[in-house]
Amino acid sequence: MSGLDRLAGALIVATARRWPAEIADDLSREWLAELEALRGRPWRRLTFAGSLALSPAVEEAGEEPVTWPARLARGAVPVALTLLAAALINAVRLLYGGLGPAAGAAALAVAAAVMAYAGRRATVGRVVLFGAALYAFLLAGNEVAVMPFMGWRDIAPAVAVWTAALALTVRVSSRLRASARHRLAAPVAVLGGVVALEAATIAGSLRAATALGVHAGSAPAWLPAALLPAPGNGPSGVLLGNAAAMIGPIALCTVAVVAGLLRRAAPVSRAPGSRDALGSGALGIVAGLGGLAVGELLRRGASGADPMVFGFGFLAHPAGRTALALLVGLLVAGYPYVEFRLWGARRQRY
Amino acid sequence: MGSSTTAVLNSLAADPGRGHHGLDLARGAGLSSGSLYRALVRLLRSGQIEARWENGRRTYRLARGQAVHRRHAVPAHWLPAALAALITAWLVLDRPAGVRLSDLGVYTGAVEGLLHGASLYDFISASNAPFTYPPFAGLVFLPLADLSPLPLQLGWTLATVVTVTGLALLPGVRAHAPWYALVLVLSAPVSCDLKYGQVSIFLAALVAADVLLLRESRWQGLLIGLCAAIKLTPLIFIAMLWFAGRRRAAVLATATFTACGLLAAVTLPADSVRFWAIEISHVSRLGYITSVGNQSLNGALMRLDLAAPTRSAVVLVLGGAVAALALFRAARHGRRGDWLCALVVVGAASVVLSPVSWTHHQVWLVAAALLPVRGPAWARRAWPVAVVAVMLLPVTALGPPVFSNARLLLAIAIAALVPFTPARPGRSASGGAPVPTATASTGA
Repeated sequence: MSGLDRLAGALIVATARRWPAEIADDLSREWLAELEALRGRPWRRLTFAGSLALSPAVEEAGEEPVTWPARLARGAVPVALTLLAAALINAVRLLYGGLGPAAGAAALAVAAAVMAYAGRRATVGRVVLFGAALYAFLLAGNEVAVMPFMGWRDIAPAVAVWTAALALTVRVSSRLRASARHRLAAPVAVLGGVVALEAATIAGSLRAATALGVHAGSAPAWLPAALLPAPGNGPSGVLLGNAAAMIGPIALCTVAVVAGLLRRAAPVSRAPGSRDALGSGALGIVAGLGGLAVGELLRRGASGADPMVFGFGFLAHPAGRTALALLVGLLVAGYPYVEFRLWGARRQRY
Repeated sequence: MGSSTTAVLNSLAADPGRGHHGLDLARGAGLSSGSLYRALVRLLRSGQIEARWENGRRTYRLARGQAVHRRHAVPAHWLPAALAALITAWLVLDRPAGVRLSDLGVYTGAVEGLLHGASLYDFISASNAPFTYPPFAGLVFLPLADLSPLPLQLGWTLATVVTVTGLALLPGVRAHAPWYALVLVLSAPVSCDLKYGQVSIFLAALVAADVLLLRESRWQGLLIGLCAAIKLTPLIFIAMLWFAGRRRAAVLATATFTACGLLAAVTLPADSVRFWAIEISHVSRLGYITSVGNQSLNGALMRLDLAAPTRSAVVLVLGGAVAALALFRAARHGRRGDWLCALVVVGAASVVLSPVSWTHHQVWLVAAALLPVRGPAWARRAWPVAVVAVMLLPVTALGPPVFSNARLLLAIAIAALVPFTPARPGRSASGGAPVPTATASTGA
C-alpha cells in the first residue's frame, strides 16, 4: 500500500468522525468501499478522500442545512468582534488618559464583559479567523505603526503563536466537555487563554527586547507588567508600552473565545422557521450601502483628528471603507444565522 | 431544493432501473465527493431516494413513486443569450478608451473629485456629461474611486450581464428565461446600459426584486426606497405599493428613501443643498434632451417645439392622467397577485412621466412582451412581436412623428391602454405566465 493510499484511508476515517454519529459508521464503510473500487488510481483515491475531508459535514438530522450566506455571516462574526475589541481598547485608553487608572480599569472590566457576552461560540475555525482578522486590523489597519515595534515582524509572530495556542486550547477543552469532564474543561479553557496571551506577548516582544537590550530572561513577566497602569521609562518601559498596545485587542478577543468555551450549553439548533432570507438580504444591501455613507462620514469627521486610532487606520482608504460596508452588510443580512447577540435581541443559534 | 440534490436526482432519474454507486453519481451529477454525500444524506432523510448494500458497496436509487425534478432549461438554451452578451460586451469594451462606458466614467470622475474636496456637481466628463444623481448616489459610488479603468469596466460589464440574467429569471418562467434573456440583451435599453456603463439596469433589477421576490417579506419596500435615493425615477413605485394595498412596504420605502437622503445630507451637506435646491430642476444638465433618445412625453413635446408653459401644462395633465391610470391598473393587478404586470405598467408610466427618459430607462417596456393581452388570437400573438420589434429595432431613427416617438407611444399603451389578462391560478408567483411544473413520475 502506497503512502497516498494510506493518506486517503486516514482522511476517510478522520472525515467520518466529523459526520453525525448515527450515520458515520455506514458512511465510513461506504467510502472505504468506494476507495477500494478505485484501487490502482492513487490520485483519484486521494481526490475522493480529500474532497470529503475538506467539505463540511452534513447537518444533524432535523437541523437546517448550512447555506453559503450562513457560512459567510458566521465568518464575518470574528471580524466584527475583532473590530469591536479594537474599538473597546481605544475607549479604555481614552478613559484611562482622561479620567485616570480607576476609570480605565472599570472601562476594561466593562469591555471584557461586553466581549464575553458577544463571544457565543468557540471553534478552532473561529480562532483562526480571529487570528487573521487581528493580523489584518493590527497591521493593515495601522499603516503607520502606533508603537516603534509594531511592524509585521512583531505582530506576525504574536498573532501566529496566539492563534496556535488558543486553537489547541479550544480543541482540548471541547474534547473534555464532549467526554463530560466539565470540571476539567473550564480550567483548561482559562489556563489555555492565559498561556496563549503570555506566549503572544513574548513572541511579539522578542525583537523589541533584542533591539532595546532587555534581557530575555524577564520574558514571562512582560505580560503582567504590561497590564499595569504605568510601564515606566527606559528600554523596558518602551518594551512594555509596546506590548500593552499590541496585546490589548488580542486580550479582548481571548476573552470572547474563552467565554464561548465556558458556556455549558452546546449551540442549539432551531427548526426551519419563518426566516425571511430574501428580506434579510435586502436589509443587508441597504445596510452595506448605508455603511459606505457612514464610512465617508467618519473619514470626513476624522480629518484633523488623531490619525492613529488604533485598528481603524484602514478607514482612510476607500477599499477599507468598502470592506467595512461589506462586513456590515454581511452581518445584517446574515443576522438570523449567527449567534452574535446584541441588545437583548432574540437568540438564534445554528 | 439545492442544485446538488437536483443534480443527484437528475442523475438517478437518467437510469432509474438500476442502483447507482457513489462514484457513478459523482461522475453523472458532476459533483465532488464532499458535495455528493451531503446531498445523498439529505435525500435519504427526506425519503426521496433509497439505499441498499450490494456486493459490499452501497447503491442508491429513487424511492418508489418519487417524482423527478428535472432541470427546467437545458443549458444549451442559454447559448444564444450568452453569445449575444459576449458579442455585445466585446463591442462595448472594444470602443476607444475615451468613450468606453462613458456614464461609468462620470460616476468615477465625480466621486474622485468628491474625495479630493470638490463638489459632485462640479464634475463634467470629457464627453460633457455632468453628475446628475442625488448625493446619496455619490456615496454609493465611492468604492469605484481610483480603481483602474479597464478592470472596473470589465467587472461592471460582467455585473450588467449577470443582472440581465437575473432579470430574465425574475418573472418566474424558467422555460422562457433563456429567450427572454436573449431579447433583453439585444434590446435597445440593455444595449445602452452596456454601452454607457449605466447604473439603471441594477436599479431596475432591485426594484423588480423588491416587487416580485419580497412580496411575502416584512422588508418589502427597502430596495425601492434605496433605488429612489440613488436615482429619483423609482419613486413612482412607492405610490404603486400604496395603492395596491402594500401600505407598510410603501411606508418602509419612503422611510428608507428619507433616511438615505438624510445620511447623505449629514455627510455631504453642501452637495445636498445644491442638488435639492438647484440641480434637481436643472433638467438641461441631463444632456441633449430634445433628441429622440429622450422618449418621455416632455421630450416628445420639446421636439414639437411647444413653448415651455404649454409643454409643462400638457405634461402635467396628459402625463398625470397616464400615470394615474397606470397606478389604478397596477393596483388592480397587484391586488390580484399579478405583480409582474403591475411592475411593467408602472415602469411604463415612469417612462412617460419622467422629464427625461433615455433608452436605458426603458427596460420595463421590454418586459411587456411577457404579459399576455386580452383580445382576438391575432392580437395576442402580435403583441409580443410588436413589443420586441419596437424595443429591438432602431425604429426611432425612422423619422417623425410616429416612429421617432414609437417607444413613448408603446409606453403610453402599456401604462394606460392595453388590456392585460389577469393572473389565473397556476400562474407563476409573480403572475406573468404559467409555471411549468416540470415534474414527471419515473415509475420507479
